[in-house]
Amino acid sequence: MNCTHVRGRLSDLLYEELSSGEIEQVKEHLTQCPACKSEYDSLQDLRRMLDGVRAPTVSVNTPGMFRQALEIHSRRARRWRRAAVALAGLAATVLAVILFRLEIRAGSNQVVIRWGSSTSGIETVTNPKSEPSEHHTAEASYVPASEAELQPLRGLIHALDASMDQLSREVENRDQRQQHNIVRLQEQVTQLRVMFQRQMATYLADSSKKGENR
Amino acid sequence: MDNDETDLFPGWQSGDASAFSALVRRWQGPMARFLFHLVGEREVVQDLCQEVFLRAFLAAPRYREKGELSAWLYRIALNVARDRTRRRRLIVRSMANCDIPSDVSEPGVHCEQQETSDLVGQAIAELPEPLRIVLILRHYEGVNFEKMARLLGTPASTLKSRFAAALGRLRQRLRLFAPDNEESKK
Repeated sequence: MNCTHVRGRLSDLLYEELSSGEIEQVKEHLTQCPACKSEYDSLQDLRRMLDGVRAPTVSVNTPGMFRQALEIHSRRARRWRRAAVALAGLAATVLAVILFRLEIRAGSNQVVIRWGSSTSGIETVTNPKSEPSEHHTAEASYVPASEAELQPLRGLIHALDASMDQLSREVENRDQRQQHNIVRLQEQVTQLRVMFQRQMATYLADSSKKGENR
Repeated sequence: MDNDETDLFPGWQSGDASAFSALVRRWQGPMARFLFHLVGEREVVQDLCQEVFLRAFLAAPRYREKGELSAWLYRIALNVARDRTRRRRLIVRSMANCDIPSDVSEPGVHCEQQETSDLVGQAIAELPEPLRIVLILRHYEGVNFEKMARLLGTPASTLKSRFAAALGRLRQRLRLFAPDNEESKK
């Protein structure tokens, strides 16, 4: 082993990470090479100095830690609850905007809140910046629905009416078919009864003839 | 993993306070040592240790048992130390800050030892983080390079080189403060 090889293994020797064969070889080199021996000695000194550093002793406050963990859990739960409420509120607002065709507009000294169509529904106009004397409190007006708007409703009613008619016709047809089936069944039963009576009569006649022969 | 930890494992992971307390008792010493050498400040170790075990307790349900509990705890400690460093730059401790306990019979000797200890601690704290972590894990925690490689996600050969580099830097830095070493060289 040369000096370069040995110096690369001095820290391994110091921290006992060499095989027994390698330890022998390195130690043998150290007995013959003062430079490498000095290097190894300085590493040993360093190790002693590192060992001399005393870390502080601590005692973790476990009850305090559990309390802290509990607080964090409840804080997280509160945050989730708030987020859920906010989300639900947002969803409800979006739904209201879609369903009621809500329209909020901020104009010149006016905030306009409108729902329903542009020509129908209730419109609220407030004027927050104006003087109290000029202040418009909630003002509402009702405009009757126009013919054009009622048209789709009429169409819907007609369609419903037509489908009701069709449904009742189908029910009527089904009833007629069932009645026809019942009549047919009654006829079959009558025929069967007649056949049975005839066969019974024949059987009785045959039986009486046999009795007379005996 | 130690047998004790294996026995405690189901308990502490499901929130059993006594099992977790036992785990804390087992690991608070190594964690304090690791954090102290990592941040180089005696005064903050208690708080950082508390933070490590708090994070471990909160993250316990997510921990997957692979026999690497120590690696998991060291990783948490490393993150805690890094977070602290991010929050506040490392304060180099003053050499004049030498506390002498009242029950020490030879205050001069104690102060000298404390001073040397502080200087070595300071030299470790001044190492670049990758070298510092390897030095602490290998020297103070006795973690071998294979385990360290799994913990840090770095090849063992790289960690070995870093360890040798860390020893080399410390030797250079501390040579002035090692009179015995200087004398032996003469």
